[in-house]
Amino acid sequence: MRLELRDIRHVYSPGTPFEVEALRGVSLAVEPGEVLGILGGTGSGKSTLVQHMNLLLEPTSGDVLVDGVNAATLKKSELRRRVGLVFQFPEAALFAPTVAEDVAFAPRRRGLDEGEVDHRVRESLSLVGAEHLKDRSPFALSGGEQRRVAIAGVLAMGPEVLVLDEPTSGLDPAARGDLLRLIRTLRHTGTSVVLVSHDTDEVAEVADRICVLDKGEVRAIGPPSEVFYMNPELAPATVQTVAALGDIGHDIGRPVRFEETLRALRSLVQG
Amino acid sequence: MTFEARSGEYVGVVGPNGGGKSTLLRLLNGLLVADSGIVRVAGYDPAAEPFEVRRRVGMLFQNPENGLVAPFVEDDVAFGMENRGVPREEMRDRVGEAIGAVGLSGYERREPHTLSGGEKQRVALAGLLALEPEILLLDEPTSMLDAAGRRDVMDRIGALRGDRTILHVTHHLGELLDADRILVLNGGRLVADVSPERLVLDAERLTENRLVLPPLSRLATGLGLAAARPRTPEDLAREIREKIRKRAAAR
Repeated sequence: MRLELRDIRHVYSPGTPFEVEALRGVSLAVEPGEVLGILGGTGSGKSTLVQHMNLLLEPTSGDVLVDGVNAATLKKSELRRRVGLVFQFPEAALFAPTVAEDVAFAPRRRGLDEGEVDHRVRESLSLVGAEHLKDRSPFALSGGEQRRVAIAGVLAMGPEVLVLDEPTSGLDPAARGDLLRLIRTLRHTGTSVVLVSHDTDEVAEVADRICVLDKGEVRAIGPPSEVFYMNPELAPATVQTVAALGDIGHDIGRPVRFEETLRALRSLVQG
Repeated sequence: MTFEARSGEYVGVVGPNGGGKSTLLRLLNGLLVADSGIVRVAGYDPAAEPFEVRRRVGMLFQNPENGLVAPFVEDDVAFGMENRGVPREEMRDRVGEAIGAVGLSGYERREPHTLSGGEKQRVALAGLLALEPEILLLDEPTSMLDAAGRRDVMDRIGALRGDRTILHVTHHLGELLDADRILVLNGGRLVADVSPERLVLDAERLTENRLVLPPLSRLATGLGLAAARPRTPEDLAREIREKIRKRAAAR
């Protein structure tokens, strides 16, 4: 699916003293099968933006297009199945006595037959690497496991675009690594992923393209090697190191991912 | 677990989710009561005398939004003192000092909701400092901030060292590279109480406890440079240039 946002403005509490223009004409597209990283500081409009992707929030002006069709004309339930939104701290919504039942909740409510529900539960739990947890209580899991189970619950709806809002927030580094691997796996299955984060390191590891939001506007959008090297102040410390080396006469191109950067620096150092 | 933080020490606390880090902080300010064992904070038992303890302890939380209550920065910083009945004159001085200590002089009349995450967290920190705590408990204070906000908050925290005892819980080992000690909690146990220098060289212990070195330390290690220590990208670039020069000279 190609998901396009065209000139989206969003004003909170219009006509009141609390009026805030959170988005000031944002245009971007999520291309089929890509991982789009959305970076921006607190208050840049990241969360407001992604809630427009399935029209959980309606734009004050502008359009959301799904494969060229105006999303406002689609059935809300259909749109929300195709664009799955995972909020920050999604584990807060876990409720069922077992992991499998929790993940089965949404597909069952859609009226799928039990065979199909079961199939989807297995498949989405295996995607997030949590098959072995299916009979456990979601409340007895670690933070990282809970997070992955909550994501499986959205995956069970079979979304074509998965939007993750700060999915690694509060997780330890190892659990964070698991989640980044999950994002790469999803990409291989053809699901597009929108990754909202304030952590440039993790976005650098998985994103095909990056969009930087600043005060409700798109400040930069493009491949990580362009966005980061054109705006080193937004880049991970590893990229800043390469940029600083360039400034003192050692050009090694534009590596972005950690391993790629280490390799390039090694061959520089070893000559 | 058994440990003691001495007056003025800067102690880092790390470990996987569910390791016991947050529980430890809650025991120290009396939000939780230990099933057995003894907890003393500045000589007081937090479970029996929570108010004595909280007068001496300032706690900074993850979410910068949570701590802010007042319409203007200066009111926010004064809020805790008002509750304690600090005289007006003294209050004004202390607000000014605390706002200065977190580098926000000139922000007194700004509205907190117009500030960045890092600035909000510094306002919250100023509110704590105005209460002149002997001990600061920091519960992942940078985890919801972007890189710039994290650096700002860490710089301010670093500047508070020495006068106060600081216990700093974090998932970012990089923030603790110059701590006095690091406690590693895993599965509810204190599995290590070591210097940062020793911890970063102990690959096995890092893996066992799901700890990851910051990217620049990993780059440096991967390039055969001195192991983890606090460094900026510019520092590392210069170290790399030196290494290239030495190699060229050796030829």
